[in-house]
Amino acid sequence: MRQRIVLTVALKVTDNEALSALEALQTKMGMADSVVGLAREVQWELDVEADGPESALRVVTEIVKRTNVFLNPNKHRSTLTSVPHAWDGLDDDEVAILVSDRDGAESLAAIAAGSRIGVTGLRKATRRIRWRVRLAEAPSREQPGLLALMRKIGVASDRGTGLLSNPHSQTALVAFPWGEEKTLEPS
Amino acid sequence: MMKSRARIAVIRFPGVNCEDETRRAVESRGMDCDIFMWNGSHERLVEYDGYVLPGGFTYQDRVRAGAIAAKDRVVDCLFDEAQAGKPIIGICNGAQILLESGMVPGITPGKVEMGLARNIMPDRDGYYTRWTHLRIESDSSCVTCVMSKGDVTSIPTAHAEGRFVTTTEGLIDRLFDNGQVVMTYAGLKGEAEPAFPYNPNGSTRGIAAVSNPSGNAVAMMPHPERAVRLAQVPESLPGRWGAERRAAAGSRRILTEPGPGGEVFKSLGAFIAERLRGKRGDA
Repeated sequence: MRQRIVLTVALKVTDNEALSALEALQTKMGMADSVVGLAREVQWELDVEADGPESALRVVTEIVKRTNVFLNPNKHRSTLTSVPHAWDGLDDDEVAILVSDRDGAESLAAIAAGSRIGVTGLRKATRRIRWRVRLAEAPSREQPGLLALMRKIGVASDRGTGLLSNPHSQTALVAFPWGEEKTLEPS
Repeated sequence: MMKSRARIAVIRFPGVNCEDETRRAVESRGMDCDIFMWNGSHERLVEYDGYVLPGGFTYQDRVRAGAIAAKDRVVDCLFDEAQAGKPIIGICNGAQILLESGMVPGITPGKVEMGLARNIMPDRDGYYTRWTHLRIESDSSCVTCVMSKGDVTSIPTAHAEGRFVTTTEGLIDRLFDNGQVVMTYAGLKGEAEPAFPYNPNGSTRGIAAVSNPSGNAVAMMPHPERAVRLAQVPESLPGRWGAERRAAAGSRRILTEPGPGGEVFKSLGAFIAERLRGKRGDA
């Protein structure tokens, strides 16, 4: 039966992409007072044929190790879990913005794993980026304008707003540390 | 006093890599051209008659191709110049910047109305490069005004995120109706909406280039600057341009005859000349 395991990959070393995005938010989009940090993780949703969750974990561990296409252990750290919540692991002053392609092609990693390296059992590999946005003030449920701020960070609406996703090619959702998530639509 | 030669600025953002050949392509059509740094003076930038955002990988394509460059101050300046009617061509990564900044298609100027998504190709993923055949859908834009609607030309493409998409209902039909779809990928004889590899990225209805409503700002994924001389056309290319290249084999014509991409820059020059003569006027 088909099982899903999520592989989360992050750089051990400085993430220049996250630094560039943070610099753009702060200096090009005027959010230096509200956004103080940005980190990035790649989440791979890996669907495999396995008898159950434990078997799936073993299969995925083997696939990740054998293919070497999802991460480079010299510079990445990774975790394998069953499907996590979008808010898992967030600090109190963080929110997560998760960005996925709307109709992405089958990932190169899956193709490479299947047809070039000979790994069987991997049925699908989809990728999304999880941005961890550190705010100057810890967010709260009652905070006015919080969702608008997340839109301004997360969804490109016009020249001045939105960086992390283009709503025509990508979807985005925001997750808060108190265990809530919402779809981000353009403002 | 009327200027004798148009002046073009090719904008060099961090990470572009086609600025020199783009400058040469512009100059090959009788225009003056400077490579202009993205953080240069806006007072100087507005003195130019037109602009080209060249191909490459601005900010290393971090976050999304063109996304960070679209937030640069220079784009605000270019936006104002486009609104005033000056021509702006975005080639490949430049096209991604124009879409991400809302300059194109510009139904509501400044609003992001389209995206350039990752290529969709059968059994492969990522970056893809090939010569494409293009059908001219509009002959009034700043890249096609010396061509005729229905013409078929050949220009190379090279990108990983070149699939024109939108979630705005009815927008694609509106762009075709408005004449804002400038070029589409075509079959060898100009057949519409071909499959891969003629449509190299799965772009909606084969769209390869889109303009703003006035036709003076154009986002195009093919690279005309890589095809300005006949010598740049491969002998193996099917169609008219391959035949011309084969016919010229062994002669000096290869080095002197223009290639298919030259028409794009010839159009840019003609568009500016017409604008400077005041026939087109400010948009």
